[in-house]
Amino acid sequence: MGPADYTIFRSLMKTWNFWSLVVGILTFALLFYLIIRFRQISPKEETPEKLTPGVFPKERDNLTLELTWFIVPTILVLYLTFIAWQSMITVWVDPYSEDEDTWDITIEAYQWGWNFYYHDEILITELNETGNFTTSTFTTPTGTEIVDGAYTGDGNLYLPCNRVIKAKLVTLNDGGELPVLHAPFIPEWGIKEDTVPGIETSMSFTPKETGTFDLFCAEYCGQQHSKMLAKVHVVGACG
Amino acid sequence: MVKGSELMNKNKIRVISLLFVIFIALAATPQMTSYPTGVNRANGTTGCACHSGGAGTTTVIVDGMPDSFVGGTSYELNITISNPNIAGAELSSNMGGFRLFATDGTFSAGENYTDLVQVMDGGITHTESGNDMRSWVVVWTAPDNEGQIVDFTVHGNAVNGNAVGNIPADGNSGDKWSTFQASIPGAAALGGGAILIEQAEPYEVAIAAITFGIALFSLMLVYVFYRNNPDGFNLNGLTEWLKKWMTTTDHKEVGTLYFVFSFLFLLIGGIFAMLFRLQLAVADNDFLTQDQYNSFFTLHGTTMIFLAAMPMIAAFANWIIPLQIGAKDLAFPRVNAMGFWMLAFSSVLLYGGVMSGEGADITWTMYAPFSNSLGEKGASAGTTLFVAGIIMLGISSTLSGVNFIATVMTMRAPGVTWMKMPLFTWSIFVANAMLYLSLPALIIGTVYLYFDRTIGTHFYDAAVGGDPILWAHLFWYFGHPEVYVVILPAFGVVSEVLSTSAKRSIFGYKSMVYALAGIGVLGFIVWGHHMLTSGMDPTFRLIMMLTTMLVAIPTGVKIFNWLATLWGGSLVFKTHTLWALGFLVTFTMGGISGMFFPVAGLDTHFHDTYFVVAHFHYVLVGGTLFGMFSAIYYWYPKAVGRKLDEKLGLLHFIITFIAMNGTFWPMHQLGIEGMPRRYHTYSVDSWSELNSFITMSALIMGFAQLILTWNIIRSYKYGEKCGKDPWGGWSLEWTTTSPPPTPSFHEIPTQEDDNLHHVESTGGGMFSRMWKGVEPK
Repeated sequence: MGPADYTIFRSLMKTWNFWSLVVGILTFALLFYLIIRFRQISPKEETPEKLTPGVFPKERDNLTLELTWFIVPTILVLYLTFIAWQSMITVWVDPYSEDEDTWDITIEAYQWGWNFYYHDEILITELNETGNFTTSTFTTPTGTEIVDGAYTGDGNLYLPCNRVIKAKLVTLNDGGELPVLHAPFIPEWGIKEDTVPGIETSMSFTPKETGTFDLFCAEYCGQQHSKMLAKVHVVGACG
Repeated sequence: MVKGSELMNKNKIRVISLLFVIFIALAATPQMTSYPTGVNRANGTTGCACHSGGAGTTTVIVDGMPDSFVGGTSYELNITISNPNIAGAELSSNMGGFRLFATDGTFSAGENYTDLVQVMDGGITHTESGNDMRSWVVVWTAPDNEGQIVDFTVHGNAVNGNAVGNIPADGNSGDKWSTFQASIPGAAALGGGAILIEQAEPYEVAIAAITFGIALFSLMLVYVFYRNNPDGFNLNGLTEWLKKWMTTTDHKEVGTLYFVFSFLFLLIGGIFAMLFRLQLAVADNDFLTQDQYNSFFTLHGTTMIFLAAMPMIAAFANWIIPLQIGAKDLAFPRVNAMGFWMLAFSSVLLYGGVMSGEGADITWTMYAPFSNSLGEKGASAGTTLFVAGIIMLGISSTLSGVNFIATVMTMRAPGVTWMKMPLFTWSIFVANAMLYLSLPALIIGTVYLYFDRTIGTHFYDAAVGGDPILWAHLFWYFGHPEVYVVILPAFGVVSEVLSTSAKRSIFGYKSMVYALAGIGVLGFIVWGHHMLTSGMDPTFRLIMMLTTMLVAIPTGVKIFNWLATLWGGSLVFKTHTLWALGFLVTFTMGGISGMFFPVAGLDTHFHDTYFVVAHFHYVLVGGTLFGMFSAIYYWYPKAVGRKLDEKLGLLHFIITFIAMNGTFWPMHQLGIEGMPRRYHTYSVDSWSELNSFITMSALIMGFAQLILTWNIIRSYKYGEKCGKDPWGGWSLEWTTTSPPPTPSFHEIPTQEDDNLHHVESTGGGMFSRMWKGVEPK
């Protein structure tokens, strides 16, 4: 379960788990050492300072030490931010650059379900080999005109393998539906993005393995939020 | 010159007429609706809105319906529509359509109708190729619960066939539709058939538990009253006694009110959590309905944050701040009492919905544009009350916030300078300053929301130019500082407790203060990390990512300073020490998991999964709640004059600590596996195992709190008596008697400074200076 091994999520998790373990083990080892080493053995034990009610105690500090645990975490945090920045470009910037050869689909969310539209001729030709599609020119209820597009109507998403998929995310608004937030979430690829009424958002991903995967709604959208499910079928060759 | 009594009468008339006007306005407001287009937008849920209605001409007949159904049995239904005036038959295409709704059961296509009908939400309808006919066969499989009545609604449309090609505008003209309705009772609902054991309604269980709790609480009040003076017990005195508590402005008594209130709601919030954990224990569970589940987790979140955590912090701030800074009372005692009573009544508003079965189901984040929606698929009716309650809470928090800020700024005793102030006071000061600066955003947001729901404004409605993201910005601009508002006081408590328990001063007092202030500033520029997947500009996401990462630095400084405080000390293990050490463990884990969210490649997966739930429960339970538990054991003797029982305390700590980790640790794994939060149920069987374990742990954790409840009640009378300074703390609250007199200091005390008496330098290396302390120059 969870994101596939080839996703950016898995490689980032390795780095983050590693540093979490380093920080966690260091802190807890120090904590348990201090608890055991400096526990009170006899109540008459002398302490370096005496705490007296109503008297602000003698201050203890050490600039070197305090700077150490200010600067070392700062370096770690900046290093991690740098890595995170790389992933941000991969996730949110690269797929939208002009020269990326993307395969476009539109995911339309409504209370409580999904419509999937395909408007890339090559994509449809490829998918049609699985024999599920009817092609025509039509306008989606959100007003997007799709020329020679396709629509399965069975509520599931069909995608080719090993292509950069760019999904446009819209919310159905035909007057009868409530325009609320939704978010398609596909754990297999570790991606989600909100569908926002009035705004066109998008997300991108490249499936690299065939199979059938879950699609959830991740943004709370009312009574049947937990029933807003679909299946994603990745078909064809992964070459 | 008007006489006094006449003046009063005039004032009374004025007040009464003012109240009258307000009541009229209140009664009229919900009747108003404004549509930007001037008309009510058509309701498309029937599927027939685009065709014109024509009752009387079209007939819908459904054959094959049983008189009563047997659970699990399939029934074949023949749906036929006819209209003598619309001759669709000759055209042989586009003759008609139907849409069937049923309140329960499942549908499938009849034999030979597989391509002609399709299952849709709540029922079944025809397909595109299925509209070339006027009769269809579908199969309805009855639900297992035979104790109910299933309602059927069938819309049938006789079409004249002019919708050739893709010309929907003309294609609808001349069509007539009509509706058929029927109800089929289950065998058990008729009184015959199989006998089902009726399960208790979870809703009733919850309400019964709460009502029982309140009744028990009232009895306890009477008992406490009786114990005050067993010999002179007289019920007539009860009202006087209650009146005293209801009109008190003494900071200690208001603090006690806050504490009792927050503890009660901590338990109520826990009941909700246990109920929905039962629902989530196994896959495809139906212990709670979707509506119940949605409003239970909404109330759990709001209760825990606004009615348990914040009031409990306010309780300790009320009790301890004036004592710690050597003031007789708070700066505005009457405003303080008003803040409490606003809070008490806002809880009635928040819960008003749930008692009527229409509890708010908008999550504690109250995301518009769902929360401002009305109607069948919108937020439930209780939401309006709930939002009103949140506005009132905002007012209450503002009142108490301004009070603490003013008190700390102006009422410090001689010697309590800014940089000689106890860290708990510092934390309350910073937290309230943050609260005071962030609350306006929430109040404005909720007032907009309230207007959207009541008088039909469209602040968040994208269809008419509103902004659906506006709410998220306003809410998180408040919401993120808010989580620091509830965690900083816990930092303060832990600083006090660790220093006292290790029998030495806190290490790096100054850097502790700067770290608090640093968190206070950074906390305001990180709100966007809650919205990384809401389609914002990548540059904005980058900024939020960076600032969020930076918060780890001052937090790390605090953790290492606490560790250094232990170094060279002589640590005693009292119950409050255990809670503070437990806090260090769980809060550090929560802090580390927080570092996973600002990363784009991780957040696109983690956002709104159980990993988030795990993270903020580690921070709020393992941080705030553990800190507050520590405060209870630490300051209870000061308030009551008797210590809490240490053995019960140890038991409470061990069970809660283990159960807390058992509850929230597995949620990390569920999050990685992609289980979305706020899901009523799930169909992935492999999640059942972890979820059952979580539910068991959660129940244990919930019931373990009864130990604390018992300890608090029992120790009030039987606890070990203690003097002024039972733990060996240094701040001014330990110089006064336990419990303190009223007003809290007869004479304003002066805080001495030990640093002034030690001038000789200790010299030596880094570690020896740390050991011995550093002298001021």
